[in-house]
Amino acid sequence: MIVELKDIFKSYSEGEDNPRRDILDSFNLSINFDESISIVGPSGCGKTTLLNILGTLDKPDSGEVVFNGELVTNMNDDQLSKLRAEKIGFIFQSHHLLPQISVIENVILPTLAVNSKQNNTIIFDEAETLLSEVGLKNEVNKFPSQLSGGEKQRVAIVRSLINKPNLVLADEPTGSLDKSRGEEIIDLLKSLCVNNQTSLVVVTHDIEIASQMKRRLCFKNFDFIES
Amino acid sequence: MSILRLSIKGLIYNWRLSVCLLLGTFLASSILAGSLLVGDSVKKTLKLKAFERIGSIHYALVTGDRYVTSNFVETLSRSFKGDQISGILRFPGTLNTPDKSIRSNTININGVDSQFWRLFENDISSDDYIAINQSLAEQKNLSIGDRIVVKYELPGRVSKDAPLSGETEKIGSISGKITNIIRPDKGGQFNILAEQKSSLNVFVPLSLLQDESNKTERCNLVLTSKINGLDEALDNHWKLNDLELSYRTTHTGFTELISERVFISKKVEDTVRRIHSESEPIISYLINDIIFNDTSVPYSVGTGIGNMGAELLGINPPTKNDIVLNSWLAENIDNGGLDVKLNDEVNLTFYGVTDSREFKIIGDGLDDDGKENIEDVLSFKVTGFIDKDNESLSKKWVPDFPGLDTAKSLASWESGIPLDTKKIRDVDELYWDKYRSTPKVFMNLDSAQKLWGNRFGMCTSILMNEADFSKDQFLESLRSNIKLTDVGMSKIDVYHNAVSSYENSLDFGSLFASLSGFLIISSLLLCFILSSFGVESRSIQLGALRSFGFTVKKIRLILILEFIIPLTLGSLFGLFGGSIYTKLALAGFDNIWSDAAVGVNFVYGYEKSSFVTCFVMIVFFSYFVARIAINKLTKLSPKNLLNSAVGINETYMSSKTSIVKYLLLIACFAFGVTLIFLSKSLQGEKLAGAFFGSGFLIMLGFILLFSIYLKNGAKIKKLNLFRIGSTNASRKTSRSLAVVSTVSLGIFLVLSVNAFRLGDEPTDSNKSGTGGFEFFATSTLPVYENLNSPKIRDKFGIEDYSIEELKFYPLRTLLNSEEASCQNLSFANNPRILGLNPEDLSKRNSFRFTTSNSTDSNWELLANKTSDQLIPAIGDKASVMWAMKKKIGDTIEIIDGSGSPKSLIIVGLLENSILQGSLVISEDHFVELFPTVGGYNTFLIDSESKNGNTVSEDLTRGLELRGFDLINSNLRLKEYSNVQNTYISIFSVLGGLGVLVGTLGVGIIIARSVLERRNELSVMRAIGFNRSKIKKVILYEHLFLVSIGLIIGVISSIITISPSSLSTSQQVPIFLLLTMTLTIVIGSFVFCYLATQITIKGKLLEGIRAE
Repeated sequence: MIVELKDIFKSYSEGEDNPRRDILDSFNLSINFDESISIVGPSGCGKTTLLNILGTLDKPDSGEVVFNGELVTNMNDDQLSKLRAEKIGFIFQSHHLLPQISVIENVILPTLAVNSKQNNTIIFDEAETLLSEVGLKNEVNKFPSQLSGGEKQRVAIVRSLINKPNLVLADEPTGSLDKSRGEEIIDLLKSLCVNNQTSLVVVTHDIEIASQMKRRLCFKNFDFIES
Repeated sequence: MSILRLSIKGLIYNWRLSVCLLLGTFLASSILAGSLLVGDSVKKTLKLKAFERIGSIHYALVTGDRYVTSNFVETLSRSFKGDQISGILRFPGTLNTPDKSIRSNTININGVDSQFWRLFENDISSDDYIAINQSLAEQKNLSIGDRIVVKYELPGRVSKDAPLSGETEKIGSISGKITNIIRPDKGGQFNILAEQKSSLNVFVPLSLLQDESNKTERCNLVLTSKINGLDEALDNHWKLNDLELSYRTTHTGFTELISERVFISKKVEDTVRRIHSESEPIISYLINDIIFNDTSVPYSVGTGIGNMGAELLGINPPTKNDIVLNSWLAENIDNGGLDVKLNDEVNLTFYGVTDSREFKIIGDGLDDDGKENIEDVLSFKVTGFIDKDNESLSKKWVPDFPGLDTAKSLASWESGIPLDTKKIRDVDELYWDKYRSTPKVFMNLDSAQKLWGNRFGMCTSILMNEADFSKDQFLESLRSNIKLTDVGMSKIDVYHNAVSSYENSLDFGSLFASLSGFLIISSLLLCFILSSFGVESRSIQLGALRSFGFTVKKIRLILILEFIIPLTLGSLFGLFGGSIYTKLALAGFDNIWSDAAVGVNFVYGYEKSSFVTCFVMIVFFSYFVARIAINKLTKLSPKNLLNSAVGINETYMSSKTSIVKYLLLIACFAFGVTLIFLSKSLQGEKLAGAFFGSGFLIMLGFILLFSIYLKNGAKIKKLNLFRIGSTNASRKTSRSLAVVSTVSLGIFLVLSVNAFRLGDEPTDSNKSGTGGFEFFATSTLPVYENLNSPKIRDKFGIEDYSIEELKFYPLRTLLNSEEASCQNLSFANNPRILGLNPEDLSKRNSFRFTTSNSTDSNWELLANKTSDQLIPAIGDKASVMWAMKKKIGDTIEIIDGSGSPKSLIIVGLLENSILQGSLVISEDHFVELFPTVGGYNTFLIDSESKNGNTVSEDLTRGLELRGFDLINSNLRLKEYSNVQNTYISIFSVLGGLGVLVGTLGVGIIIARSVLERRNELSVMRAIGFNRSKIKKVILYEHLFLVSIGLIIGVISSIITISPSSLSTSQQVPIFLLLTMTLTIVIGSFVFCYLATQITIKGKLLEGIRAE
């Protein structure tokens, strides 16, 4: 099991005068290696919160998050950063590529977060290979501003895989793309995760995309229910 | 790919931000470096001037009113072969051209030898020259070949304050054509005093001045290069004549020690008596009248003797009230005598000399007002007679009073005492012809010393038994017991004083840095704002990096590396900018700020340490502010960073924060107000600290109050454009508070500092800085006479002025001292000391003391020493606080006339007065400390005459020979005030620039707000708001903030200034402050308008399309 959420409770306050709103209440979830899961639900239901908790970007108010057998909830910020750098890849609706560096540099950017001394040439080769796999062989030295939306998202996918994570978390990765581009990206993501033996969690509004995942978590009756 | 590369890429990509950061630090670094370099330049200038003054002189022996021999200087030179030792004669004097078209009242005439020129690496070797220094040549437009007349007071053998010192009006002069003009670096600026003011020097060969001034082979200043063991040599090489002592053989078996100065100092007397037990002092003095019954004998000499003297005369030693008379007095009246017999009682009268050289008859039975005073009678019983032709009875009992030897008759003796020649009978002249000054009266030594002893000495000779007496041994013993400094000479470490004068001078670097402080802070604040925006604009990127596993430290490292390059480069380039700033400031000192330069032409100078200090400080502080900006954002969780709304709206204040803020608010106001009241009892830097501390606390209180309003109260109640704009300010409270803080701080500093600008006060008030005196005058040569006496006025040709019209308040002045005020940039090692009669100023209630509850008796504080024998002194507040770095209750160490250390204690401070630069003590204490300083050199003049110019002209003309220099008190006060006002002007310019940079920050904040809310503004456009209305919303928001800043700044200034201005009757320049406030208000509003206009210019609807 790659990650396990146990009895998670999470609520938010939106301003001093407003009551806190429960997002997750006694929520449990387990994700195995090589699994793909989609999380579907309306805006504001807590999809991103759930994803953030899975990705250790947010902490639950109570409950436990266990990643690869290690209890995450007690980890400090540096330990969490190390965990994210080595085990988790992120893809956002907006690609969040750094505009000041080239495509290939954006791809290898997460390797800088890993403290191990890796061979630069090998990393570059790997990045080039991955970029070739997503059809961006000729774009490696371009800057994000020179790419289309789909290309940028492909770069973001490659970037999320550069550190060979156990888990990739994608928050509406096709949200800013048209349908055909979106499908293309999801296919690519799936295949790359399969090739890299990486688990995949995708937050989406799109039922079709959700249905392509092995497991589906849908928000119903104020709770996420696996369907 | 590495962290560094990533940072460099960020730096290049965000080049606009990088350039702005570079410019921000460039500005801060330029200002700080410039400030420090101004300090370096001032120091360099003062250093140059100090060494121009002293050349390679290290030590000086100032002989006071004594004169050492040239032989002494030669002996020293032989002891230190290879070292330069020069003995010179130096007198204050006046200079004029024969036609009197050019005149200078304050010159120094120097008789110098070739050794002197060597000390300045000048090769003048001629024995026939009259040289003037370049300053004098330039100031008076003199050149080689011009004929000049130099006048100086012929030095007497004894202080003119001493009794029987002879005439006061003997003026020497040297005239001739100018042969050389001496450059400043070649000795022209010679002066051993640490004053940067140019000395006006005339140089002539030493021998010429020695001859002309009747001081052959004498010097009054010995200058040496660096010599080890000089102290020992000085004390081992002097001979009797260097102390103006000599032997006189008078009686067989006895040697008499006499002094050219007539009176032998107490120190010498005591020492001689200690080392040679067979010695006895003798004191002789002029008796006005010896009276028996109704007959009197005028102008006789009386002598006080002890056992040895009595033995020599063959009489019994007179006891306390006994008197032994010359048998001439026993003769009948026709022969000039008194027909007096044994056991008769005779009365004596004599002239006592008061400190102001006024003569008072003692023993005439009258008091000061001419009323009968039975206690003022000197009655003695005749216990013996000495035969007038006794061999032992001769004029040798009498010292060589000035003029005595050369007087052809008794009536023609120019004794300096007003002899009533009508009283002198023929028989008296016959006695004079035959016996000259042979005493007619011998009395008890102690009684005589009590009557005739004075501050110059208690005896006129010392009789020494020649048995077991060796002159060599005696001299050795004398040398081992008396140092030259014991007799009023002083050895000055000229080099040390010169170094101290520039090392401890007013620190212009710190002054300018503090004057520029707000500008520097504004620049750094700008860096903070830019850094904050630079980081905030990338919050999502940073969130992404955090999600990739970048630690907070790593992200901070990336950002710091990116920022540190422009910050470092900006700091580095700023060093060059600082250089330009300094040159501009120095140009300012030459022109618009010349009052602060007090006549000094500054040269550009720098110390490497200033560059290093500036670079390190600016890099550190800019790094610090950038780090705060970075830390502030990067401490947010990755989730919050990824939320693009971060930075637009801040969270509401929790109740816990709210309580803390309220507590802080109360504390700020409470401490601020407390400090205002406490500041009344503080002085110096503590007062300044309390003043600004209270201001800052009160301002902080208001800012906290506003922040609470923004967090809690800024809610729309009535919707209109202004309300929308003003409530927008609450969305980013830290940003809004930054605007308010910058503006209020700028306003507060500019207003509160300018409130202390000194205005022109009315001179008619005794409580004003002029003390109610019309004129302040100094004289190059001392004035010994009482200028309030009609007789003396007649002598000086100012008899037309009655005492009601013109009254002088003379002050004794320690001449070898330095002005300790803002007019002297060099540090005064020996502050100028003035001695006055406290009663005079107390009666007039002159000058304003710094404390508001000052009483009329403040001047009376000078009258009595403290219980621990400290001498009370009063000084001008600015001089004491800043030039002397002291406060009330502090002591100031001085060296008195006998070379002993003494302490003055500051007992009072005057508010902005014409007495700046000096310490005032009572005249009694002055005379006690400096008994050899004669006459008065400073005058406060009360004039009732309507035509001040005429008075000024008459006095200058009448007292021309004394080098009388008169200035209108108001003008003198203005000269001092101008220095302070110029500093304030400098601050205003720099503070104004600071406010400008602050409003630039406001402009950037406006631009940033517009960019951040571009979509929001686009929506407003889309729903029908026209550009003008949108502009108003933005403008109102920022005008609201600027207005709040202005109000807080103004209110804080008023609260802080009011108590001190009320307590000191300080004239607050309200019109100036209103003008400045209005200028800043208009400037800020215009700047806000322009910033809004520029930033809103783009196509706002593009934003909605992007949405």
